[in-house]
Amino acid sequence: MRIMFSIGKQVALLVVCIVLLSSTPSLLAGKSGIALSVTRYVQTVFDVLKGLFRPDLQTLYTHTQHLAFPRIPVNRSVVFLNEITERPLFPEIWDSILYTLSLLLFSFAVAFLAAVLLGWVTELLPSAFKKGIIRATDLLEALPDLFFVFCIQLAVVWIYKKTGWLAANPFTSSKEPSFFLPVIALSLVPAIYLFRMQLVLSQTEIQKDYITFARSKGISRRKIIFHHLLRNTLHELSIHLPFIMLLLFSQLVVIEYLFNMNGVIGILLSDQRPETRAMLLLLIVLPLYGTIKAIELIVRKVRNPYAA
Amino acid sequence: MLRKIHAYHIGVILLGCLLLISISLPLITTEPPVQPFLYKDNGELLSIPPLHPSQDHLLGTDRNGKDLLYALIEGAKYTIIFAGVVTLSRMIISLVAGLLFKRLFMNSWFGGLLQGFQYVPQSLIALLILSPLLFYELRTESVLSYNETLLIQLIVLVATGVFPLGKIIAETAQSLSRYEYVTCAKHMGASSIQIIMRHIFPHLLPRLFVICGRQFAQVLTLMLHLAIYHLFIGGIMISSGQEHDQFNNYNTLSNEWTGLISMYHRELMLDPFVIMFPVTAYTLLILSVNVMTKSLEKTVSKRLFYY
Repeated sequence: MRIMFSIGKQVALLVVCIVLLSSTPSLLAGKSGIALSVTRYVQTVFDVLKGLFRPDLQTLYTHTQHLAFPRIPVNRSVVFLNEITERPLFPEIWDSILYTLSLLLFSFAVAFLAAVLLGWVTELLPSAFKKGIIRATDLLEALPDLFFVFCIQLAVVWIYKKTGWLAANPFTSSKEPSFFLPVIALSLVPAIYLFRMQLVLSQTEIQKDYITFARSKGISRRKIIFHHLLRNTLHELSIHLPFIMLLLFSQLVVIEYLFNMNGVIGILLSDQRPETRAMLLLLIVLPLYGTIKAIELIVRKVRNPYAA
Repeated sequence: MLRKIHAYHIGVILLGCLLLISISLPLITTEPPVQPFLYKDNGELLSIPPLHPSQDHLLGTDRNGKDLLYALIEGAKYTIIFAGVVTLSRMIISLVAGLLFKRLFMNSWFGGLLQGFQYVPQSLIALLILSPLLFYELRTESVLSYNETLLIQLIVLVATGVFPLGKIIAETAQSLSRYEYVTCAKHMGASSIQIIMRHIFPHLLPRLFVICGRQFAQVLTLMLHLAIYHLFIGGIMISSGQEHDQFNNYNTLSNEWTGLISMYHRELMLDPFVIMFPVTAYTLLILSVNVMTKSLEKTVSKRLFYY
């Protein structure tokens, strides 16, 4: 009961925070130019809360620019007309939400698995190699995230130019959404971070007494690594998972633009009502929150199965 | 006594040199004139921009004929100074807030409220808050002057970082105040201000430098993320002869590095060298900041270990 209450409180506070965040634009922007107003902000917060309880009434703005041809004697050039259409949010938005969420969760899984598997392989290598690998990851971790994205895009295009073989489509076209390349670009930086974490953690773990004891009993190195070391580092590693999620999400914000994907963030940042924005943010953040909490719960259960 | 030279000393000197060159360059020379076309002596067309790196233009030019080396050096100061100012204001505000309202930051209700910052990235928050300004600038003339734009961007970038940073500092201070001498001082009747100044702050200070270095790298990353969405530091100039937004060209007003990267992004498929030079410069900047922070961190943890 108490656990239920504390989880409910956390989720409620998270929702409140997102509502407050998504109505902040109204704190600054007035009808014309910058005008700070707290009353307008409070008003918007209430509007957003009201809107969240009636999801069927929420709408989505779409901005289009139509090609128009004025009559020929008047003007020979073409004109673009700006138009805003308003549609109900709900059946419409699920596709983009699912696309974005699947990208995030899939790259999360890829990064985690890649880091752990690579960590295991590295553990079995001789220690001189291990030191070199830690140095290399130190350097790789210091590079900015977008550097990798640019390099990946450039490499794919370069290979295509040289050989005519398109490894994966680097930009989304209207027909096929790109999935493979964004996942690689997204999961690269978190994977490096987790991999390095895993190496550093196992370095401190291996000096502990129980490992020395196991070694003195004559248990083989491989068995020690798989049986003791990894299980104990996995728990420490899971503390860093919320940070990894944040890293992934903040990269997705940019990668969605750079790969020209039709995800939620493009919609979120276009001209929408605050309640729509709050709804979209909640629809992305709550599943991520749920995933992290579920993983934490599983790790705790695995580590200590007799706890309540 | 001769002190050992650490990586962060070298880093600070390098950054200082870059800043100095960047500030003094416009005073010494003027920008190389923009050459739309290059002709041979007899008037034959030699090449059109973007010009590849050569003797005249060490790093080549962009599609408009702007010299890249000059743009990079001139823009360095805006990048470094803006990121530095944001970092310092974040540090000062959240240091004061974290130490004064330590209880509040450790409160589970307030902490739960700050959880949003753990799940929503700062770049998204900043973009959401600044997006109304973005639309004004896209559809019409910019309603804000250069200084106003800069100020608003500064305030928003500082505000998005203050809450999570304040929590980090409050947590660090909390862990420092668990030592026995702090409890002793409390029992002796020392006021909370005295405890903060005497017992907590001296131990907090070396850690603050490490946090500051991390923040600097984080702010630089944040600036690039904003620039990708055409939110350039110091404003934007949109040039396009056509009415469809698809054909807009977004130019930085200040040659600031992240702005340059975003501006040249479409060259990635055409003439990659145009974008690769700003990206390399930016990468080296972040790399040096991160290496500095890491070496600082190592010395700090070593010193704490010895005492």
